[in-house]
Amino acid sequence: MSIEVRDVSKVFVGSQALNGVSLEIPAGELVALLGPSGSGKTTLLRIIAGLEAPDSGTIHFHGEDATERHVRDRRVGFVFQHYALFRHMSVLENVAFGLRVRPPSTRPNEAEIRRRAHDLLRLVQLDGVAGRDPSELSGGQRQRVALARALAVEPNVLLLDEPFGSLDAKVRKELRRWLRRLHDEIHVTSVFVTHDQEEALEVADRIVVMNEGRVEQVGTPEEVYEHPASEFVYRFLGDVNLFHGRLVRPHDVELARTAQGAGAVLATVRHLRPFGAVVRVELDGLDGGQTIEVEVARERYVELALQKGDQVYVSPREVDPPHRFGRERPA
Amino acid sequence: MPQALAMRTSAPPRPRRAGPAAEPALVRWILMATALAFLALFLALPLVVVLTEAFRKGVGVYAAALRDPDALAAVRLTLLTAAIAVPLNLVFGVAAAWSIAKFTFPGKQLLVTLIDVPFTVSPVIAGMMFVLLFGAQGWFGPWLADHGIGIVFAVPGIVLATIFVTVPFVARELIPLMQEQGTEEEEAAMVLGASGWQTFRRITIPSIKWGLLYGVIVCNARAMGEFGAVSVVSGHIRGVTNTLPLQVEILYNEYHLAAAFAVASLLALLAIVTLVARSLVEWFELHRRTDTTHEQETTA
Amino acid sequence: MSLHRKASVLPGFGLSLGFTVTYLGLVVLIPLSTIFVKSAGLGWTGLWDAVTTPRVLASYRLSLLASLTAAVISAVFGLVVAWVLVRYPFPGRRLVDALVDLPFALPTAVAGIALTTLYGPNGWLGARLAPFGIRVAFTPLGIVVALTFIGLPFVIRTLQPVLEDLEADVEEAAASLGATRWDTFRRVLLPAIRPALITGFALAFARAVGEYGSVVFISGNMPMRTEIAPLLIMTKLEQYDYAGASAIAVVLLVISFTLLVTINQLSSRNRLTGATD
Repeated sequence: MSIEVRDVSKVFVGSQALNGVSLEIPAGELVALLGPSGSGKTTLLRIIAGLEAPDSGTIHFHGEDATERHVRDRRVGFVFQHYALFRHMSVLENVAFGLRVRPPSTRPNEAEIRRRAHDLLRLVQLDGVAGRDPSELSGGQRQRVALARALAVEPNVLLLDEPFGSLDAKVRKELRRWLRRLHDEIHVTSVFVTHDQEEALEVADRIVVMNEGRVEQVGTPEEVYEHPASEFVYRFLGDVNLFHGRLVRPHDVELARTAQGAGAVLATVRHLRPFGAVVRVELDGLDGGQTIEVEVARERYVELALQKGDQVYVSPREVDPPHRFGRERPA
Repeated sequence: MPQALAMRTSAPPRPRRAGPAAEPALVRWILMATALAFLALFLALPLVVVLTEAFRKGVGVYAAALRDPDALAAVRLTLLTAAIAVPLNLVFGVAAAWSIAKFTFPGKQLLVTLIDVPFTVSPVIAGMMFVLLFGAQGWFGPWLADHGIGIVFAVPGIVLATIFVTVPFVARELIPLMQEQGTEEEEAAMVLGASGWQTFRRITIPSIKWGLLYGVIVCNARAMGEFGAVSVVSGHIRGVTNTLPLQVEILYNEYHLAAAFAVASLLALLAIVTLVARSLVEWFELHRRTDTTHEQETTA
Repeated sequence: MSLHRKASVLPGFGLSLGFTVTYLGLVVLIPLSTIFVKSAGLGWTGLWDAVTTPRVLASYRLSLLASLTAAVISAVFGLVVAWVLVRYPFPGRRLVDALVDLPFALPTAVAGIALTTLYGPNGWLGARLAPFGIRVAFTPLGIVVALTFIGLPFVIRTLQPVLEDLEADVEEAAASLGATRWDTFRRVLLPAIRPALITGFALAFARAVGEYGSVVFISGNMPMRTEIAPLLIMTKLEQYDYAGASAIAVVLLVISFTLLVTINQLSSRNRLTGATD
């Protein structure tokens, strides 16, 4: 089911959380709302869910205006950052909850409810812990239970609020991949909120970059990374260097012992960090004293025999089109 | 009012083993002896006195005092009063905690302070208010007289005064508890399709059940033990408007000491049962608590 | 500014708030207002005259001083007890901990007669103190004893969570810097628990000022000497001097409300800044 957000604004005491946001989310896609804290992404998610009401603007599901619909009538699934599992119920009962509270006319019988709950737990690979209490599970397990619970009511839309924010880095990565695979299997329109650009780039079909209550750009991961629409997007999605008014990615910068072309800048190596297949080099520019971050391939690093304190020439590679946002500024 | 006497919601840490940086053993022993002696003197002794005085004239006199019709009437009235006051304040406590813990609105802090007011009002003043309202020269006095309804110097007045005095008890237990539990579980339930009533019944109530029980226990203890407020309102009519605490007072003032302490021992027993029940409930709450938030885990 | 409601998707806001406010209005506010209305009927001069008679002033003085003294004693010994309960494991600690709440659970009348019997001329303690010329029952000292009894749990229960939350590393840091144990206590620990100590003291004081049942037996109720303000109110009521009783009550209510507001301010400030560094 597709989602359309039309000109939604929301004010919380003192601050404008959302300012005339409009957005289209095609059916079946996995979309990330990406932005720093305060960008309004969680507020927008909650408005789509019906947990908050917009001050102005409308929300449409599959073309129908759903703005006035109560959250329980919207057929959305919501996964909270801190899981919000029902603490006094077993895992199975948590997953079965949505089915149990259906009105008698649409409620399946007891056997059917249990069957469906077990099916979902199998889907998230947790059928073995069906009888346990949420307190006995790890964070990653709890989040998967929360997901199963949300899916139990066969929602048209799945909404996830920083679903992996409370987890360890390693667990986060595993669950990210797992979410992607799950989405490929069940194809429910899904929207998740994150402040981690790596997560958004890796998982989403489409990224909505938000800042201060506004949408900065909407596009595929390649689009927002390679063709950013504004300096904010460029900076938020990765490291940048500033060369003569141009923003350049660390891997688009060349290092050499001799000057290569007119744009070359002399710099002193301050720090070397091997990082798998690349080496991250931090340099102090001698003119202007800016800090430059460069990523070089391991072979190049060995070839150059770089040492701390060496002076090398730094030249940005030509990118087409070049990213110029505003005038030259001190770094 | 700070939650000084509210139920614990997290387990206290075990006392630390004293390291070399701690106070010397002699100081520790002195402090411990002082503390225990103080508690024995101020808390334990009075309790012991009640029991010894109650049985001073032997078990026969003790039993007779408890079988006395006035004493039995006092028991009945005390139970009746609690049976009315506690459920009413239970409903109030739940409603107040729900509105305060789950929503924000202007004047919330004022409301919380207002709920604490009965705590700070002297019991005598609490009783007096109802005399001024419903007494013969009170605001409703003439109207009540015309309709032959007696509130002051009758059972209804006692019940009203007790209700006033015990208003805060359940609310004070539930408000911090529900604030701590937040709104996410209820929100999750609503997203899953539950109605408001289903959410409240299936999600909220089970989460607060021990806090509720705790509040009821302490509310009941106060309702049964209230003295000053009831003393003003009751008129001390023997066998009719005497609760157990008032019966104790009458017997004591008439120098029937053993009988007074016999009745008092019932109330002391109530106090002990209250303390035990409270500890049990607290223990249940702590051991049933599950922490489903803010955990870093190392397994997926 | 709009009335912003957090989580307004949750049901029952109007119902629960409406019921709460109505209930409070009927049970608490309207009855309380009768006191103010009645004493207002005296007019300012009448009110002033009623509360400044020597007997009334003596009762205020007695109530306030005795409550203050009792609160101080509760604070000092309450700190010792709380410290011992939190820091020194000993067999039966949990039992003793439960006992601390006894004054809160025990009906005041029972406490009153027990204390009177204990400290009376023939009581276990009263008889032992008499040879030293110390009389407790029927003197202001007895009142202080009774008020200490009821104020103790407030101090202890306010201090315990704060003591429990103190981090060990701060004390260890002080020790490693060369501080003696007493220094560490005075300069590091005491400031950290001072807010809670003050709050507990204020709670005990507030409770003591209005206390009736525990005190009325042991005090002897001699006007000008051992007549506390609540008892004087009771006496006036028995004489049907409702206006006079209201006048005395109004002053007590003002004191109580001031204390309540102060305590709430203190404790919310504690929560914001934290009781430890």
